[in-house]
Amino acid sequence: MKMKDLFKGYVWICLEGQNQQKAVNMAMARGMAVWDVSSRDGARWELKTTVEGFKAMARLARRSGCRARVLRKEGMPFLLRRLRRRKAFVAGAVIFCAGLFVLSRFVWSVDVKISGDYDPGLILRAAERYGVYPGCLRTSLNAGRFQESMLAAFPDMSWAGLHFQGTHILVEVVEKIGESPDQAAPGDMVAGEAGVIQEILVLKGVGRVREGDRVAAGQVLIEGLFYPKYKWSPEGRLIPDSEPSRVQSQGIVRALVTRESYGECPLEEVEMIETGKEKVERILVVFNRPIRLTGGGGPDFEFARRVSERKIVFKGRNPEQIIELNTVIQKEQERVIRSRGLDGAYEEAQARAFANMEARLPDEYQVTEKYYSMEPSGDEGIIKVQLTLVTVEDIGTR
Amino acid sequence: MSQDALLDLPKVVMTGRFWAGIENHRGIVEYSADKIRIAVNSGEIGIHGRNLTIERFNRDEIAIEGLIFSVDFGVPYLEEEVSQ
Repeated sequence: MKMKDLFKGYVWICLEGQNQQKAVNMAMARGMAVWDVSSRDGARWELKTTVEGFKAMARLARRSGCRARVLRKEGMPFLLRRLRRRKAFVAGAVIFCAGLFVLSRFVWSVDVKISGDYDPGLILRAAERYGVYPGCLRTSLNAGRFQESMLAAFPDMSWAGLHFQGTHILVEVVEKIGESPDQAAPGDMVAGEAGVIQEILVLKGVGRVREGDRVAAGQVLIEGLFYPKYKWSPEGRLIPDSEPSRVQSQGIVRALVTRESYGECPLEEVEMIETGKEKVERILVVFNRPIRLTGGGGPDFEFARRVSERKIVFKGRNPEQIIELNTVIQKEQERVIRSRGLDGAYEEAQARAFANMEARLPDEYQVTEKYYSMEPSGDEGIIKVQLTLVTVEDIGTR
Repeated sequence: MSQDALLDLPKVVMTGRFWAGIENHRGIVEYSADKIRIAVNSGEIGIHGRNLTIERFNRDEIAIEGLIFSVDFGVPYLEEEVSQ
């Protein structure tokens, strides 16, 4: 079947009787188009032919000793004829298509995607002010104009865009990345940790410490001062020749920092191990009234870990109008005394000491010395270890 | 010039076991969902299978769809050829 058959129409017929193959062969010899021939038992053939070919096929079928009967008429002419009788249906379809077209011209929902630290409500209100709101005409929106307006309204915004997803609009905003006004404000660089200065590189400001100096936490390392003019002193040294202005100090100050931490581990520890047995209790809470659905019977476990899950089934406008399913699972536990031995406890205490230390370490550091030492714990059953860690790191903070 | 056109021999083209096209045919001899016999210049071609339908039928070609089990050239034709 070709497209032109759909436009010109075709007939689905059946040939009943005998010698159908003769009729079809004669039709073929006369150049008639025949397609989709099917037959279940050989006695009844179903086939498709053109509208013009049907009359000739009926004649050929009679000559061959069989009978041609129309099963269905399909294609554009027959569809139009059927539709002519169903004016209300056609009108409804046209109105539906027109309505769909008109309604799809409008924006039905607006969502916001934020990259940065903005309040979504604030962005939505701003977008509404600049013409992007549910109910506005899609064709009236201009992404370029919207971006200009948004950037003017939010100086710390680097980009604002509109994504059209059918009748849904996604407003996307991106905050500027870089120094915030506070970070760019003039200020001194101070030591975040106490240590011995190893290296100082002043990029902006005046250095107040030297290599080898021992500094305390909070001590000024680089002062945020800038002298526009210098002059030569009678002694042959460069000295400031103007009032300094305040700038934001910049530089790298690396120092040796020594940190200590402790870790303890008992020789014997009580551990709770799950046995695998559990009791599940399901409670349906309807408007604050609990209804037990399953579980809850039998004695409780001696030791157990409770896991609760809360699933809201229905939520009304009133906070009390809530239906929720609470599931409480009690997982039985067993007390097991674990003996670590002296070596095991010592290793565990070391690991705990390092774990305590790790939280205080900066992102980047270089270890120069690391050693553990036993400390008296005051309890014979507990091993106490002290970790001393010496690192080289950038200690400058603002 | 190809042999099939020169000698008016049938040309059978198959795609897997689900489609067969026969060129240079003379018409349908027998058709049912399990068997189709096609007249060709030198005898018949029989196609056996299940749910066989004639997708397209014109002077140049006949296209058959369905699950094809076998294609043969008919016993009378073979006997005639052997005796010659």
